[in-house]
Amino acid sequence: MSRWGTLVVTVVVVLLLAGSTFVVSEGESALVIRLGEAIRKPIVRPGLYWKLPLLDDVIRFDARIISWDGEPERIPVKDSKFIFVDTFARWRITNPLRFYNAVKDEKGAQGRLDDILDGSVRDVVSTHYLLELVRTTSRPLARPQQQEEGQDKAIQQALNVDGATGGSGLIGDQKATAGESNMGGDQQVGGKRLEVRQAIFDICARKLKELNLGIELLDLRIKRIEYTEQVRDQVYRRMVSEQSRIAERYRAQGQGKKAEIAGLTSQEQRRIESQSYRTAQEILGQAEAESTRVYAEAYNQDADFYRFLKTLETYKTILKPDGGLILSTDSELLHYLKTPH
Amino acid sequence: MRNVDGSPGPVIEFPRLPGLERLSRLRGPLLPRILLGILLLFLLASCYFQVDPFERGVVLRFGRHVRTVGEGPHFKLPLVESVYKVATERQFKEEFGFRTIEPGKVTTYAKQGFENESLMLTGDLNIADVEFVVQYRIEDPYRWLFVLQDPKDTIRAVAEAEMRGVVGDQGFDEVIKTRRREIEDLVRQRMNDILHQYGAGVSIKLVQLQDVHPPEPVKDSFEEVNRALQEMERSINEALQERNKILFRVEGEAKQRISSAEGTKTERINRAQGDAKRFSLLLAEYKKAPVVTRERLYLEAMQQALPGAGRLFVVDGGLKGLLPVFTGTGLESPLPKKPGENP
Repeated sequence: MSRWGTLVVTVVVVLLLAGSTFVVSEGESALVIRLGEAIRKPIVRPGLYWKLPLLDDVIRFDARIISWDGEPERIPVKDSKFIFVDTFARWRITNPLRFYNAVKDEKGAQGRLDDILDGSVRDVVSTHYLLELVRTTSRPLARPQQQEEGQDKAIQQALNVDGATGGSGLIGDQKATAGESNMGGDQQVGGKRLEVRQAIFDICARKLKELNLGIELLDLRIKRIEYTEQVRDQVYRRMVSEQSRIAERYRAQGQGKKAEIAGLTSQEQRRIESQSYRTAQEILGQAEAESTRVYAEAYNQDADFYRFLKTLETYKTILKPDGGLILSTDSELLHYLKTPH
Repeated sequence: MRNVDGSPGPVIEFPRLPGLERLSRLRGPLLPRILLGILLLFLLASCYFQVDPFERGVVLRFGRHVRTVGEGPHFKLPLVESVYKVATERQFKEEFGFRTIEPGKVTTYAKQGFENESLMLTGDLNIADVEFVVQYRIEDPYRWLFVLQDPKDTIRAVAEAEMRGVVGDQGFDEVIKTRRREIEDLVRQRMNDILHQYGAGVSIKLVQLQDVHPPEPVKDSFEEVNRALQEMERSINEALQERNKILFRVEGEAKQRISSAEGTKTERINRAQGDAKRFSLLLAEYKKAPVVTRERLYLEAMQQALPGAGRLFVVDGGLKGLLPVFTGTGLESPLPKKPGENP
């Protein structure tokens, strides 16, 4: 055998060997098609397999979990708003032969899934209120009021700290501000996001099973729920006006509280002033009472002598060089002026 | 094997090695020899591979998973074994609502054009702009490679779905301010649940909310609220300050008034007691010689008082009108002069 002959034989052997084996890798499944017919069960385990060279065709499929990502769909919800709903799903080829016969390849499958999933999403979503789709639970949501109440408490504290016993009527009307910030969230609607998801999933899974495409739906989730452009602008306008209202209310509240505090201050001021007046008067009264008692006690020893002394004293003070005095002769004051007795 | 490197030197000694007799027959034209050499080199090279410290190597033989190897140098069978390297020790990051353009000391971000990812409906049907980051690690390299067709895309999709789901169940204020931690925890937990169900072989290590704010068109109005809130606080503070100022002054004044009253009290009582004492003492002496004392006191008083009087008119007790006295235009009063009248 010549050198060239050896080389040719080697090459042919290698080619035959290569053409009659194939590898199915992890994450793959495969069909062997001979003259348009599947000649063996789909291969789902990875490994090295035999086939007839040239005659057999190997068709590989992805055995992994495959993505389906829908286009955002414009759907009217029950409260007649239009929203965009974007869903995604995960699916898997469970029966490569059925799959090959029914949809041929992944592209074909995605097309079929589009029809089924989009339609089901539309069906289920349109029978729900927007809020049901958005919320998961019925948990009541926190309102901005809580913050204001905190503020009121802070003021209350500030007022009490500086020793005021008043402050009774301050900010008693916390409820007056409540119920202002509703954002459509007041309708008592329970969240149904999970139920909606489950409902869509169930419908789709059942349909896929009925159609027998060799596909199993593993998961379906709502990725986005969005307002359409037009509704979004409306919502923005509403948010802006709501915020302006809140801002206005804060300003008014600030002014109101300022006035309230000023009023309380004035109340407090009067209380302190009148209290001190009362105390002062009491003290002066005591002084007068005491001095009166002392005087009376002393002068009662001889009232006549006291009158005598006091009258004499009075003369000294009332007779002034630049003043004039007209007295009747009956005047008590003049009694001693006429006679010492 | 030395002949395969194609250098002519060793080839001359070749025929002496009996084991390579057959091979030497292939010698001849240069081209096949070179081809063979390259093939052998290639086979040799494909026996060896190296795994970096942050990686794991997943080795497949005829497509089937046979072993997973850690860091360091490793050997595999040429042709039939292939290796996939997966960075299991790396923490991967997915960004939502923005993209890092260039990380560094001053990291630059792109924020425009990702509103679709970040605008979310809140539970009170408002819209919040939620930017967040998800960090994950590959726990199982085999699963990472062979369970999901597109694991990164799946992580992103699940992250978006769950973040929106959770945000959709919070009030706008809760999303913006109060419940960030809860949201992060909840999303992380749910993502892990879902990815675990898929068997994706990844673990979400961190869900971190970044910039969460009102959407651009309404931002101003929210700042307006903040300003109003500050204004309110300022108003209140001013009022409280004024209050303090007034009340401190008033309290001081009250204390002053009371102290002054106390002083007056003491003064009056002291005076009373002084006066009383003086009177008592005088009285005691007076009683010893009343007539003389009375006379003396009277005279002393008159002595002091009368020179002090400017004009003193004393009119008769019976007189009913005083006017004629003062109508005088220099004329004499029609009334008769009374005795005892003083100039």
